[in-house]
Amino acid sequence: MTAPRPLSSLLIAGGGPAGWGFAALLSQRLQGAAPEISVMETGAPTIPDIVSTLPSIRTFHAALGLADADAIRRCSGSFKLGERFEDFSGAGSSAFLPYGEIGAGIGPVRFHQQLARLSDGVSSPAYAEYALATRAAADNRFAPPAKDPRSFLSTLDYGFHLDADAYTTLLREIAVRNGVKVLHDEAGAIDYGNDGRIASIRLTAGEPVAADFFVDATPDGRIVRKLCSGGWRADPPLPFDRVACMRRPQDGTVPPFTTNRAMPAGWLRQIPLAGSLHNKLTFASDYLDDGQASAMLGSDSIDFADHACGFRPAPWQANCLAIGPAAWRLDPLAAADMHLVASAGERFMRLLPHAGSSAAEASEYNRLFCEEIATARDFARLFQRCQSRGEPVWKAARKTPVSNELAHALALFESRGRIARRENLVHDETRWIAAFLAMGVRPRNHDPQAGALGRRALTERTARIAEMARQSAESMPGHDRMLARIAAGGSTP
Amino acid sequence: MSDNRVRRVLIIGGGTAGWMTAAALSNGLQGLELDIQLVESETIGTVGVGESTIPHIRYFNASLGIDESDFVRRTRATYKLAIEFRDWNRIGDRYMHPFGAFGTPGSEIGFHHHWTRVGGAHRAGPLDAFSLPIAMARRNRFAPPATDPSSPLSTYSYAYQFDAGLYARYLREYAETRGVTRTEGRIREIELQQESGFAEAVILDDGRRIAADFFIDCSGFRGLVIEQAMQAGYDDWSHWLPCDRAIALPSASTDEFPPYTRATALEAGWAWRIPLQHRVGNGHVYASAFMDDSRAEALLREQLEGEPLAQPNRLRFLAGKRRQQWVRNCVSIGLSSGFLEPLESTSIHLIQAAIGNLLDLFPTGAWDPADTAEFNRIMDVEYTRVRDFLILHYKATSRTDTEFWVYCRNMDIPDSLASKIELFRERGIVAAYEHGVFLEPSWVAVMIGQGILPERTDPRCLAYPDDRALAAMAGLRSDLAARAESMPRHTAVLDLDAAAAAAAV
Repeated sequence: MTAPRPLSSLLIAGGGPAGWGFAALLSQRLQGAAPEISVMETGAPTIPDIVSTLPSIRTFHAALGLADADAIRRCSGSFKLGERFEDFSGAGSSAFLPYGEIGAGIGPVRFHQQLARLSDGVSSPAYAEYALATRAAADNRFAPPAKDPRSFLSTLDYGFHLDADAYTTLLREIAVRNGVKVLHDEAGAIDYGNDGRIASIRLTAGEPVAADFFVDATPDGRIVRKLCSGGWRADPPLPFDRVACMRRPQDGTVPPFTTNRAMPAGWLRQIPLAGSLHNKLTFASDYLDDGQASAMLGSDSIDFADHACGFRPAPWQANCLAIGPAAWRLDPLAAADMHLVASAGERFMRLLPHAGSSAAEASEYNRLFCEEIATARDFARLFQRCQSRGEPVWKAARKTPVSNELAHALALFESRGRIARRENLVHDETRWIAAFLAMGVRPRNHDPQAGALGRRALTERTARIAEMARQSAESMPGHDRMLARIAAGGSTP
Repeated sequence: MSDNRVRRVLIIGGGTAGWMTAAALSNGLQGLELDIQLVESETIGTVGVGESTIPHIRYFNASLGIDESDFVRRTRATYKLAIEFRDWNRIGDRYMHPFGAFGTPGSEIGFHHHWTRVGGAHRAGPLDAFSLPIAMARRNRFAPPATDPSSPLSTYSYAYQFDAGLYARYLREYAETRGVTRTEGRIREIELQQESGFAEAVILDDGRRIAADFFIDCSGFRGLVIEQAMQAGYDDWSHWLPCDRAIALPSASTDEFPPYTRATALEAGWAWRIPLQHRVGNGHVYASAFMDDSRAEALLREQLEGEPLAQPNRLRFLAGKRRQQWVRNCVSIGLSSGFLEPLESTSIHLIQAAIGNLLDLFPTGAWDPADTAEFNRIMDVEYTRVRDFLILHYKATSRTDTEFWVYCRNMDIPDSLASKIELFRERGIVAAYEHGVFLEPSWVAVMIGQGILPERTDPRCLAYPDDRALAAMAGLRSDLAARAESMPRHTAVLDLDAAAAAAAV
């Protein structure tokens, strides 16, 4: 038996945060065993976008050796302690979905079950208030979490808001520094080998670029599409089928969180950067036309695009892996794009193929990808399913079919506040709990094991946690001050 | 609080499952102020096959606040670091499935990739040589793992081999102290509510009637409530796991107390050897379609290393799982919920998993189908993952010496297992999952032990040239051997005289 040959070359078609994030991660982590990696910066730029991430971005940046201060400084960035939801449970309602820990469990009894035990019912403001992130966000404060696990300040977690173009440039720099090559050209025709695998991709001028393995990070999946069995799996369409994006300069306080505000025909997602506010209106074109949307946003320079979600159930085909928009399009409420890019990179490295057939690796990748993407999709769908607005379009959103898994997760949470067991979660259990509660879902019963906890001790304990959250938040500097310090060349403590 | 709150819980059947459940509920659900009763009959024997366990049992005991040394003394337990499999791939082969990973901890590329790439057993020596718990087991050594995660002595875990009858008695005391009441009696009949089909009461042989709101069926194979009254149905897996009978026969202890369980493949099944403090548990699990009872007993007697201490105990079963393990107001735990042969010591673990899920999902108000669905969904995953792991031992064999092994080699297997085998054979990767009992090191041990060697390994291994890798392996091997050698003997740790004295009190 001849030894299988390792990959000697990998061609990534399409740049963007997905293509460059993937290239940067592989080039950084595969040192010594890395194939030659090239990126073909192809495809028209998508609408100007912004990266609003989950806390898992920190692991990704650590793997790249990227410091928070550099990411913030280079990408007009800000810190993100969670997401605020306004008017989703009717006008005037507001709920915060914090990152990091919320309260503290006692043995098998989760914190929200302790609150339920005390009040025979648990509501979202009460629950989220026990998170340091909620308290800090309310006061526009930020400091990175303490490393000492005994400190209450260690319970914090955070993501980022980053300008997508600047972030792409930053990731490209890391990749290029690690030896990744850049080809500035369009992907043209595909040459196939006898075995149905891609042999090379042609540049505009017709010159073929050969590689052992190809990554499709194009905005439209133009490479993988031609190989694909399995195709694209569209989510049951919500009435919100169009997006309008615009960025407005803005001085003053930069809030350390993303805000989502429900409106009669859609919702507005506002992501704060240093010096500007990015607005993304996702709306139902049956109820609001582009002109009305422009008027609502109060601007003429708006980019419009159609909006539909779905994913490719088999993104790894032969010697081609699709990532980013070529493999998934998620509702913005999932905030999971960079999480999934990093996860695709880690999974690809664990399954790193050889130059020959990789059918076994592909099927394992695709199996895990489907599980993972479905949890992100369902998490975003939860908000549409559980909001309680009265307009016809929101009623229609509520009635749009959801997956069996989400239907079960909701039924189980309504029954007893428990999160159904599932694997490859993008959003951890605490975030699922906080999201259900933020949308006003109230469990009918609580955890039977909570009953053994004495009421008095529990009351004291929860009061102490609330007080620690309040005090710890007050000890943190203002988010603006932190950003100013970073802008002036400082680092985060 | 609603009126339909559960107040009275009736556990049907003692034995390991019944008393583990009683103990865990009386401790974990104190806040619900339940009235917990257990009905059992001394005239019905318990199976008590599950004498060998996996490390999870320690968390169960810890959650009850049980003191380990007390538990070891009272159940006449020994420590367990591994299972040894003999004659499974080929007659004369042996390998161990240890409670711990191979190689050095914390490396990103699994050790078996390096080991395979440098030429496997031929050049590096058997995979077994690169596991500390195996090195300890082979030398009859035992010490608890270190708590500092950076220490190589922290990289293994351990379980127990104990007398299941004594364990049940121990937990009975525990449960009775916490208010569980035991009723002696045989069940004649289950009363169901006419419209809802919910169980309402059991009637005993002597006419006594015990009513309850919630029933936990620990009645064993028969499934008195879950099957006979609720008709939950049974998924028959015997085409994949054809063994359907067992003979158990304890024998006198030998001089050594190996800290591991042994499973020796025979003509149409396999024999277990489980060393306890006061006896050795032996048994033969076999397929009646391929072997008659007298031959099975003769083969078992050949395996004994000491004098038999009792008459053989014969059991019949059907591999599979109750289709719904929770139906209306009845949950099945233990053998009433399904049967998977004790090849990987999972019987008690499956009891424990069911109890854990029941504690989480115990009804506190109106009946909710979502709770039941979650329980059944989780237990389905637990059972099918254990099932696949067991089938692997039979399917991946080179044996053709009997019809039984030829059948196993050629049988169809579940797709979920076929893809796991293919992924490992092609690329040395263990399919990743988060829930379910056996993690990557277990699959690696059994895949390689059963002769499935990866055709391709992780390309990142290329960063380590052959000679460097081989030298590192040789160093690791002698380091592990030296560490094991320096540990106390298992018998010394057990302190048998003190244990016997305590048991005699």
